[in-house]
Amino acid sequence: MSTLAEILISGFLISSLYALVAVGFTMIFGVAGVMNLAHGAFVMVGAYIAIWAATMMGWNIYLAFSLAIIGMALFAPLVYRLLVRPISKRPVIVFLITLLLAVLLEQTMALLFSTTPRILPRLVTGDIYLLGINISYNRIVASLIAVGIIGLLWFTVQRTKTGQAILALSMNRKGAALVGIRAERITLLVWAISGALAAVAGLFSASFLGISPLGDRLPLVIAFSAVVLGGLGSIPGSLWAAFIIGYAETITAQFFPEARGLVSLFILIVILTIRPQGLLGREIA
Amino acid sequence: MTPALARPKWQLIRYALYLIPLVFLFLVPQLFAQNPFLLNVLILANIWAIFAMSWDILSGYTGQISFGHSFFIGLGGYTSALLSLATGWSPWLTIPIGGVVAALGGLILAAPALRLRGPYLALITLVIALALQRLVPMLNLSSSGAEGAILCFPKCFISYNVTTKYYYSLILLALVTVGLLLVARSRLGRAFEAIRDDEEAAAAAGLHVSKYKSLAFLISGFVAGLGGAFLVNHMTFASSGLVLSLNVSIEVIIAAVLGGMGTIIGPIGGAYFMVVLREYLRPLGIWRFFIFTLLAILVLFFLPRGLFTELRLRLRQFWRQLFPSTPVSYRPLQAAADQADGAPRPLQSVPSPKQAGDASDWLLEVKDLRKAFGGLLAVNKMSFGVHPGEILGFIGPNGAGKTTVFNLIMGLFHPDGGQVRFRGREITGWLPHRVVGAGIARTFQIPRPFAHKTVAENVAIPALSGRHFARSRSIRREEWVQRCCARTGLLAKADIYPSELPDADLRRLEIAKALATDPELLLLDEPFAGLSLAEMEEISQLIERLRREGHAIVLVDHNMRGLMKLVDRVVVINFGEKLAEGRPDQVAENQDVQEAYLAGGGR
Repeated sequence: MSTLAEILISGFLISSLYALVAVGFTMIFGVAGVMNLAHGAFVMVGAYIAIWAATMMGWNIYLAFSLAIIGMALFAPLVYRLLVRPISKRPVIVFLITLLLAVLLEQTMALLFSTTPRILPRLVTGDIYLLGINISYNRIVASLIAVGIIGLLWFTVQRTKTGQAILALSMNRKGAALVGIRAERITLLVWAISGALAAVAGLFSASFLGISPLGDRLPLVIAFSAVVLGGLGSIPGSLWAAFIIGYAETITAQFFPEARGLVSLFILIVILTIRPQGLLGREIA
Repeated sequence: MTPALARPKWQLIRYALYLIPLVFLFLVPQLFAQNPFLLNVLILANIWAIFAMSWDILSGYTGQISFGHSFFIGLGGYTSALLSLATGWSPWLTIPIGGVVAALGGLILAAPALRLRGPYLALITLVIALALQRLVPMLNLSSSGAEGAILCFPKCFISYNVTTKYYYSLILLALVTVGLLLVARSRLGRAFEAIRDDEEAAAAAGLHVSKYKSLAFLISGFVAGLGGAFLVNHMTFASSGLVLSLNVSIEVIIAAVLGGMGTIIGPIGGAYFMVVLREYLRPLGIWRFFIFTLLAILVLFFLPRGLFTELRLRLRQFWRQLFPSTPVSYRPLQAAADQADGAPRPLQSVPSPKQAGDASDWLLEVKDLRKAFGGLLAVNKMSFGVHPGEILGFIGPNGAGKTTVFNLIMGLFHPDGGQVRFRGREITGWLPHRVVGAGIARTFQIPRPFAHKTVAENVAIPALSGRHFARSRSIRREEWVQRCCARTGLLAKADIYPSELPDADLRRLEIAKALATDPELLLLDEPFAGLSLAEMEEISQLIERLRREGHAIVLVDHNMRGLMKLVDRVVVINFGEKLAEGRPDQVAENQDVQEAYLAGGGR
């Protein structure tokens, strides 16, 4: 019974964080047509900004979290403007350079903070005993915030002008530009949102799983898996996929801990082979 | 007389130039005998050059971008190490076996890769490599090391001194280079390039795209596996970090892109640059990876075409400034040859055209063809036939489904129902290359030349499919290509690139490409669209001539007037269904046809 509860609850917690990572990644692909392979590194950098502020500078934890989110919301568009946009006509180079940027960011963090894993202080402390297992308030807050952010994003995309512009841009960039949408401005905005989402995911995962700069690139793999499973560029698709992968990972971690990370890769291979356009993706011919 | 395919003498000189660095590299141990570190670095550079070239033949040449070359390298490396451990065989046996296993791995990877393009392909290669990297340490291959490492297996290069190892690596590099250059310059290489430039057009030219892609994976896997096995024997250990990690894949791509994609030679330079930089940054300690990555980003950012390509372009510019010459592309003398060469080519018995014939002598017979895209029924109950030697007009308003019918006949789409028979044989659902092999060729509505190839080279691609060789072995390919150019009036422009051709000539090129497959039936998709009246007249004459030479032709257009005097019969379709069929004058009077065109807004 408690195993089932453990799976259900931690599966939900982890899935909501995966969703944050995946949505950010898929939005950039949808709007800018770029696979930002540095997205996983954004997650890590976000966490390290907060670690720097909270543990090394002794800032208030809320302030540290805000700094990380704002920092990444500024950093991501900067990456787009300086590094990605000038070479956007060469997809291979974009792929390669964003991957190299990920390595560069990992190296930078390793130089600044050493390679020892670190843990971010919790946003809230305390535990609750639920359905036979202990859950920290921090995890509950994390998943509530994640779900809240995704809901807010959903509302923005569906109900506001900016959101509609984002949708239009992801459907047809030229067409959107022709009807007067400022493609460049929206693209920058989307990179900013994506960076902020990555930071939030990084903050919470660092606060209960810890973080190290030269990790196993798990966030990137997760983002990939969720995004491809859901269909590249499809926001609802990536949400569904994040939960499927989150639960698949949690179940594996429960029964075959050493196979962690392999499940999402396996799902990814199967999906790419059988249905490359993903669950909810549009077919690309 | 063969303007396009004559090889200038200095091509040989160029190959001879490649020997200079090779000779220099052979002398390195003599020159720097007291510097084993340098030799070790150069051994690694040679191995990385092999990796980078193996990537280039698949990704640069064939356009199948792989982000998981560590998959092949790891397969080769681990196979060699494990075999050596289990059997004690000599490296000279286990290294080739490593290559073979990696080649098989290439075929396995090709299976999903055949269905995927662009980012998806890159993704699945990346993911499969990551999966292998995670899987190997879990297998407990050997108790001798952590993270799937196999240390000091008995038979490796441990007893050789560094100079010997250096020469071995150099010989392997030279063999691989020559082998890959031969592949690249061969029919295979040309097919690879055609697939990279335009997969669909390559299929329409009769190339078996899946076969060639699989071959590219096979060759690339084999070479990378050889290199991986060599690396493992050189280092005397196999580990996840050495041959399986994502960093290996990244480094291989950096080397290849840095050198210049699609050049085979370039990646060698890229690999040397990268490995030397990487190894000589070692004293920087923990800063080494940071600086290396930063430099790689900067070089890729500012020289995305690669060092080799940039250098070649600069040299060519310099050369042109030194020796300004008349452009080689246009040769007025050949224009006369175009006129003279009517190219009578009755390889096939010419049936008398305009036979009223009954259903039994259909060349192509389409029966109840049906195709739906989602809820949209694009083609329905489509039945018509083409007689040998006739010109059939296939007309309908925009969006009527004309091109879809072509795609269904050519096997680009799979029909949901119905039959296509050619010369009495059912060809429904055949892959494009088989349809072309059976004797049908098509042109595209919007010309799709292979942009990086001259006119003659473009025509040489469909000639690769080899149908005419089976029918008449006496003709050499160069001659055949020339003949196809001549028949379409392109001989004088054989050395020009498609980007320099006017629209009407691009249509001719489309037709020349189709002719090069030696078809009995030509499907021409709107050959007149956007042409001036004079140009239309020229193309009409060309089509008329092709019919006289024995080809049956289906001519698509949405404009009836231009077709009327050219065609023997007309099939009119609208909304994916046949509306009318008959002689042009009959059809023009048909009530339904007039309505469809008036209501459809066309004319």
